[in-house]
Parts: sequence; structure tokens; C-alpha cells
Amino acid sequence: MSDLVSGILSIYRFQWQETFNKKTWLVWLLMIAIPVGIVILVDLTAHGDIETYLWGFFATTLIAGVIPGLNLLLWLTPLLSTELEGNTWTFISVRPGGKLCMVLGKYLATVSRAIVSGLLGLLIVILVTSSIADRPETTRLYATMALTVVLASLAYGCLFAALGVIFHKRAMVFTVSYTLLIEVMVSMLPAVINKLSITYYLRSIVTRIMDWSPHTPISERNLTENAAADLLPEIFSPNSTFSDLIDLTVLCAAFLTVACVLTVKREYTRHTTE
Amino acid sequence: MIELTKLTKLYGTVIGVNEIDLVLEPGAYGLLGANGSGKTTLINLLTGQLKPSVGTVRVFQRDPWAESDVRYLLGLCPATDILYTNVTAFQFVRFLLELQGIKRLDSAELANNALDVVGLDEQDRNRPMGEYSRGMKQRAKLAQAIAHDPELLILDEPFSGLDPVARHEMTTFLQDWVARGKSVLVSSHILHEVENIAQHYLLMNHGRLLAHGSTTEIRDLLADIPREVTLRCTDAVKLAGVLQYQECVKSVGVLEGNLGVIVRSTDAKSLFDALPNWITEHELNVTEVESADESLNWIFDTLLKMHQGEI
Repeated sequence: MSDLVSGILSIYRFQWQETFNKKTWLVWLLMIAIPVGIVILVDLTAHGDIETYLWGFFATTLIAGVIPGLNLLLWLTPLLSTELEGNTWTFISVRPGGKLCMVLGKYLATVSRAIVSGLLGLLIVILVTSSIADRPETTRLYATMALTVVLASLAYGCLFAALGVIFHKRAMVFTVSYTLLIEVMVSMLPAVINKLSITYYLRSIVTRIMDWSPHTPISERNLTENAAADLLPEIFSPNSTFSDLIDLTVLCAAFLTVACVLTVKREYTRHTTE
Repeated sequence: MIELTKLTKLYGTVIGVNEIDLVLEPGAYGLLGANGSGKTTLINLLTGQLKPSVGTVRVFQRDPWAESDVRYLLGLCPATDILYTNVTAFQFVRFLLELQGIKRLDSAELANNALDVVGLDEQDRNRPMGEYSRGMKQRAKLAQAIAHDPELLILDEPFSGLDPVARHEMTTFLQDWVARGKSVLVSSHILHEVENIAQHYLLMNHGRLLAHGSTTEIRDLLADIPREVTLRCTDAVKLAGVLQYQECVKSVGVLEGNLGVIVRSTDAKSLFDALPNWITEHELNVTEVESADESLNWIFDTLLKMHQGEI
């Protein structure tokens, strides 16, 4: 067990060392700057005159969804393909527990990078937009956004790791396609199938914490008027936040397990007989 | 140390390794074969990177695919180039030591020791590996393979891309490694590269193990195979006439331009013993005797021909 932990930590440290260069930092800053820039631009254009819950949804999607999503897509999805294409897989796979440590170590390294990115983006948004608009309950909103950054990074990380391992030859293409189809489109369908998406749970958790949920009695809602969410109540979970967190954890554990099992049990070598 | 039973590896319909039965005791071994002969596949099976399609692999009494703890005893220097360009050799070796289960506090010292052994100096080991020459990368790869002091060191084409000085240093290092009582398996497609390190050879072709053993043992396998000896002389026809009646000579051919003869003999020793007498007795002027007999190259070529049905 201690070897596993030390192996995971060594992969974690090595991931940071390997990506500690100007090019990576530049890409990383761009991934934060673009979504943050859009949020600020929208606020500036509307002179801060946007309903809090609409702006909250929009900002949460970009700061807690897009920023961690891009980080994970760029650095976690190719977790296996970079090693295979870089001919470095052999060095890891001949170590005891090396394959498992690689998946978990890369997962932790990229998720922590995604969390830092999201929180940094949020901090910039708070600093800039607080001078543009005077919104009520900003503390609760920002705290919820911060929580969503953490949850989204952890959860999408599990999904992207699984997709990166399953489709290691075209990891990015499959992951983008899957995300658009399941996490964007299917999650918005008013049908049971939307429960297979991580977005469904995250959306439900955010709306419940903020008292924006269509399943919250109108008298208890934190809205000045009827919300757009009332049009499609099926795309929000009627369960408690705790229950949603449990469901999300189970879903993510399944994704991460698939990534670990496939990495350990599959054979990955260049198919030559040299 | 290694026990292979009916070991076969298929990549779809392509055979990587074909029904190998083999038992190897600790020692130094050369794994020889042309590119595509199945050497790397065999190494991947030994190090647990591949699972046998048929048969079993046991390394130190364990299955390397299912029992990953056997990898504590193995060190692998793969043929592929390192492509961690942004990290230094020290970071690279230390990282792999930690992955091997070595505590972080100890890993720095062990990494430096290994880098000392392979001759990467203080300045080079702390430069990004993207700036390394082929030889330096090879040293870094070797360092990561030996840093945890494995019982069995496996090297896949370790001499590839090395200059003569680096080749000599690699050979010396491996000789020292064997002298320490450690085991080594060196894969190569060039025979003379491994002749100074290993006394036992595994000869592979098209996924099959053609033969294994010492040079003498392998030569004994070929006792009945005629060996070719080329004799250059001034009167080839006369020499051929003399040789064709000798018991140890199976056939004689005259070289183009009457420059000499090619003799095929099942008993080369008798041929060489009697040759000076025939030369004196028949006043022959033999200027050169050439035989591939003592070379491992000849053995390998002959085994290949036997395998391909040419002999």
C-alpha cells in the first residue's frame, strides 16, 4: 500500500516537473484567460444588468465547467497515448504497480491543476465583476462556484481518464465527441438518460445550493421571479444534494475504476514482432 | 531464473513468438536475431508487458504478467529513445526509482550513484534530456535500469547508435556487471557486440528459438552439417583434383577464374590437419585459407539455412 502511495506521488511530482515549461504555462494561462474574458465581457456589455441566477449559471458553466474541462481535456485525456506515442510507457509499465500509479498519479496531478485554474479564474472574475455589478448573495454564489470547480474537476477527471484509456488511439476526438453528445446534449434531455451525465448532477447541486431549483418550493426560492429552469424541471434532480453527491461519486468511481482496470489488464506495446 | 514453456505470442494473426521452450539459469546471455525475429516480443513477455497467448513464462519462479512483484528483481533498458524532453536525467532516474518503491529520501542518492556508474557527469545529469545526444540518452536509460540494483538486467539493442568509445564503455560495464554475479540478457542483431559479454546465446528467427547454448554446444548441434572452407591457390584445378579423393571432403568447387577452391567438409578438423601434408606432397601453392568455422556468424547463418530448409 505504501509503495502504491509513493508511486502515485512520484507520478504526481513528475507530471508537474515534465510540464514545467514556458509553453505549458502559456497554454494554461490562455485556458483561464479566454473563459474569464468572456464572462467579464458579457458583464461589461450588459453593464451588470443581468439576473443573478442567469449570470450565475453562465459564469459557473464557463469558470467551473470550461476551464477545468479544457485542462483535463488537454492533459488528462492523453494520459496513455502520450506515454505510448512517446515510447515512455515501457519505463512505467515494468515497475511494480507502475500502470496503476500512472493513472492515479496523472489523475491527481491534472485535477489539482484544473482546480487551481478554475479557482484562479473565479478569483479574477470576482475581482473584476464586483466593480461592474452589485449582486445579492455573492458570497453564497462564489462559494458555490468554488465548490463546483472542485467537484467538476474531480468528476470530469474520472470521465476523461476513462475515455482516454478506452479510446487511447483517438483520445481527444472521442472525448470531445462524447462530451458534446452526453455532457451537453443528453444532459439537457428531459429523460432518465440524463442521469448518466455528470453535468446533470453538477447542475442540480448548484441550483439546490443556490435555491434556484425548480423542485424547491417557490416560497423558498432565491429568485425574484419565475426561473427559466421551471420550463424543464426534469433536467434538474429532485433529490437532495447529499443524494446527488452520492450518485455522482458512484458514477465517477465507476469511470475511474474502468480507467485503472483497463490500463492494468490491457496489453499496450507497439504491435511489431521485432 | 527463466522458464518458458510452449511460449507463444500472437498479434492477431501475426506470430511474435512461436512455441519457445527454454530454461535459463542465472548468467549472461545474448539474445540474437535479425530485426523482426521476435526479440523485443520475448523481452516484453519476460518483463510482464505482454501476456502469453499460449504457454507460460516464469521469471524467478513468478509469472511476470500476473505477479508484478517480480519486477522488483528486473531492470529493463528498452531499445526505444527516451522522449521525456523537459526533465533531467536525475529527475528521470529518481522518478523511476520512486515508482520502483524506493523511498524519496533514498532515491536521490541511488539515482546519483547509478548516473555515476554510467558516466553522466554532474552537469549533464542536471540538463533537460531533450538536449542529450543519443549516447547520453542511452546512459540515462541504462542508469534507470540499474539504479535499483536488479538481479536480472535486460537490455534491448543497447549498442544501437553508440559511438565506438561508448560501445567499449558499455561492454566494460556489462562485463563488470556479470563479474559481480548478476545476470544479464542482451538483445542484439549484431553478433560481435555480445560476444564479449555473454557466453551463452539464444538464436531467434521469425519468432522461433533456433538454438541456445554456448558456442561449442551450438556447434555440436551442427556436427553433421558440412562446413565451407575457401582455399586460394595458383592452380585450383590441381588442388580440386587432390581434394576430391579425401575422405573428409564432401564436395569441391573451383572458384571463378581458377583463383581457388571451395571445400565442403563434415570434418573440418581432419581437413585442416591433413592439408599441410597434401600441399607438400603435391607441391601445391596455397596462399590463403579462409573458414567461417570459428565464428558465431557461421553458426547463426547455418542455423538459419537449416530452419529455412536450405540445408
